[in-house]
Amino acid sequence: MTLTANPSTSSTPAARSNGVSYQEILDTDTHPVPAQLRAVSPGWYGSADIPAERYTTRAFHEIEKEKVWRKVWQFACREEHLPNVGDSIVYEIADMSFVVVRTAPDTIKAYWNACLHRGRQLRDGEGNCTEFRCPFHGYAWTLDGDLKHVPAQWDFPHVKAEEFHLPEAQVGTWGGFVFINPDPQAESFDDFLGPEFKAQFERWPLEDRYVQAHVAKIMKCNWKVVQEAFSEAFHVVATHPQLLAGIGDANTQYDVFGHNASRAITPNGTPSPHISWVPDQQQMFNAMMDTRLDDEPAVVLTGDMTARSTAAALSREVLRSVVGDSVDELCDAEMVDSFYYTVFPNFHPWGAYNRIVYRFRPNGDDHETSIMECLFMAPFVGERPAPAPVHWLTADEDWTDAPELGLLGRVFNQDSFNIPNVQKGLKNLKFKGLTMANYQETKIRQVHTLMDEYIAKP
Amino acid sequence: MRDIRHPLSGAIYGLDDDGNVKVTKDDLWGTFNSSGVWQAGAIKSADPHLCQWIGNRPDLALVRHRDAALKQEVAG
Repeated sequence: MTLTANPSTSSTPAARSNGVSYQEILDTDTHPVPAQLRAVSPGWYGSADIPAERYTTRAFHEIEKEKVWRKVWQFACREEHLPNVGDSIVYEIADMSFVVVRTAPDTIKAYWNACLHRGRQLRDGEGNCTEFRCPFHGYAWTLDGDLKHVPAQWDFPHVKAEEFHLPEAQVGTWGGFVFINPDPQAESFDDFLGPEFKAQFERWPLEDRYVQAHVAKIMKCNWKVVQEAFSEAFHVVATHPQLLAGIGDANTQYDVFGHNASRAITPNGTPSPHISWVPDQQQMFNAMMDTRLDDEPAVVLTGDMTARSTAAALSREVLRSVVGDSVDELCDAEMVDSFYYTVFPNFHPWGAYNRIVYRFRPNGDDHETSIMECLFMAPFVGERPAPAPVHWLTADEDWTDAPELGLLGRVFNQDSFNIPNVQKGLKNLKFKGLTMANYQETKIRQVHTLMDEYIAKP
Repeated sequence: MRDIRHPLSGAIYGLDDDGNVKVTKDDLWGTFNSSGVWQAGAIKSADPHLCQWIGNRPDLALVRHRDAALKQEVAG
């Protein structure tokens, strides 16, 4: 089930869609374009098919658990979820569980969530604690993981405090996000993230945002099926046809940064190369705003007004009330385009002020269901608001049952219309594998290639 | 009706009085549920995703349009 890049083509293919390139769109911006948007850094991961067994078999799930989830840096929570010493959350991935806790004003630690006596989970959920006391027999540890109390100590002469420190996972932070890595030998979080990825967000500091909304939904598919549905714009032509007059889906630019990160930029306010007619600026703007044939336009474009510059100007004014006049330094692209980054294996922060952060992971130890989470990371004025609690949706609930997502819930419903049927279809795929695109599915190919690297490690 | 012209096929998609998605093209029509399953009429197939967009929670379809109008008000 490993992949091999096509050995006959070792250089990056240069084929791109017809229509204007993203860099040509940037040339028309009404504001100076920041350097990070000018970066063009395509990846090339070969043309090999992706084996369907990666999505359907228990065997590959077990490999992922042992070789990936136990070894990789992964987003656990936000720092704002742990504002005070003793605040803790439980982060679960596959069959593993960790307690992530603030042990000092400037220190966050993570422990494997199990009592060293009989194995009961030490914490069942989030909350503040002054110690970790097992609810079963009362063994207790300090927040720093040192053994604090052994009930009936006379019966445990073999328990040595120095050997009973709670096993830790590594912890790293970036942009207000807390990451953990169960592997004590793993590379440092800074090295893993890499300077190229971090530089992308210097203009959009996510540490200055708060969790405005947080929706988690059970999906009837392997976690990679749903993640990959949100890793390219290629599906827009079939899945979101209402957008086509105002989205350059096939003109999306795909890049990789460092070893573990990728980016897609999908331009809005420009027509899809898939349509055979040429929409005018008003039609493009109307498509962006979901203005129907019998609706009055939200704005009537006149003279030199373009869909992009108009949408950008409107968004700037909405954002001005929160971030002030610094919005005038943000270019049209930052206001209207979709910048979706991926950090291997499952962390997807969006760039600029798009608010979205996705996380996809297995639903417990089940390889055929998964959890999709969407967080809205919003800027704020004054004191940091409390983070929104998680709004859980069952597999059969509709995304629009989370009204805090607004329009996005309806878009997710279109994606969700495909997803369980992808999982079913993969079991019936009588072909050599999934035939991914070379360029438009770069982000997916990067994840599978990196997964292979982890699997190959001893 | 809050109609949309399909950008690829040119067919017009809108809601009928029964809450079904009505698809019209070249003087023909068909109706479909929000999953794109045919209900009636001479047009027998439709884009299920546009049926979703039109027919699933149409009460929420005004959200983005309202947002845009709000932005226009903010913009003065």
